[in-house]
Amino acid sequence: MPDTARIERKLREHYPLPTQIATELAREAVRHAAEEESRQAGRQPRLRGRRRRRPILIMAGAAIALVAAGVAVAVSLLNVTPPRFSAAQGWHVGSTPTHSCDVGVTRGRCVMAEAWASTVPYRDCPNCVPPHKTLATLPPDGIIIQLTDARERPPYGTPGSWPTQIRASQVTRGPFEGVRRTNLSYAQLVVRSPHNVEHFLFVWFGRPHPTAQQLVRANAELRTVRS
Amino acid sequence: MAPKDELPADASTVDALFDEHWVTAWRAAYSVTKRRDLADDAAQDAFVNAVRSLATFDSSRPFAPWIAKIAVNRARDLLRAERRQNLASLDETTEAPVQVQVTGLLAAVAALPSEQREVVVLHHVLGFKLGEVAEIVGAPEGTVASRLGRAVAQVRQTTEAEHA
Repeated sequence: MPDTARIERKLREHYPLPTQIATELAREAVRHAAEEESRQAGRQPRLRGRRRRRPILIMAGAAIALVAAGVAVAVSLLNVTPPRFSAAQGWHVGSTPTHSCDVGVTRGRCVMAEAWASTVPYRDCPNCVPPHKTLATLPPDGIIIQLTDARERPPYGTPGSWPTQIRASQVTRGPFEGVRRTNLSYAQLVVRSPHNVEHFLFVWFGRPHPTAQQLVRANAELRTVRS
Repeated sequence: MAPKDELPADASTVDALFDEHWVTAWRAAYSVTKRRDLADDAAQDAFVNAVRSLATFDSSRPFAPWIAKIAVNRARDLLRAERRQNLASLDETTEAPVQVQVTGLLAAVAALPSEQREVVVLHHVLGFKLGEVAEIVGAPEGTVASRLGRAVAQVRQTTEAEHA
């Protein structure tokens, strides 16, 4: 009859362990979070000092800023900074200027700008999803990142942190509607940053399951985005 | 109140914490989800959140129960979110989640109700004391002890039936 100690020993030996890929992806994400935390920690003391010294002034300033912001929002046109990826080695990058979201949509209602980063020359229009021509030339190790940053009234999307990271569990195996090729995979995300900039992201991989190296490479390029 | 000992979020501290406690966080998350993909996400999120909150962590206390608690809570959140999503898209075709095929003792543990499976893994696999398990799962220590007793009895019964 198996006793508790034996059950415990067998469980400790055989209970599942994380895969190497999951471990490396998590290590990368945790390091990135630690770097961000260190940067923010360097800025916090100054903010705290100001808050302690002049709380009334800050509150009055905030009230004035809120009123001014309300007036500005009511009358102004929207704007969004065009996102840009870094042209790291092996990446082809590009972006568009800011424009209204569609024909007939005013810049007071919705504006957007697109950017892309691809390991092969990008051959499609900036917001063509899927990017047919580029996907046709994408090798198994290839990656295409398409990003649209938008600002609209009312804001859309789930609030989240940006730049984001792609995880293996967020990747869907092909096919994608309208694409003949089936040996591909993709991740699709929508994130709204704290400043109400909406980030619509597609990441395409040239194989049904991206390798750990592909995910790390895509995430490294995603972190370079400036928007 | 005595001042807390704070852990710095510098790279070497974080790397050391990750190396020492990643498997604990992952196994704790897996005890909730029974799925590798969700356990990967939950454990990673737990570590990222822990790193962001290191300034509030009292380093005179052990790190392992803290990270395990964050991982268990995150795993529960992800499961709940996925259930909501599945309910919202019942008409869509979705791929079956990846589950690990297990036999024998592991299958007996996997078949336990989630609240029993969690305490078995936290106590017998990860070596947490009953008080720590109680804090991690958010239940009284007596409840944890009775869950553990029932779970072990069930596992014994299942494995004996297999060997009979």
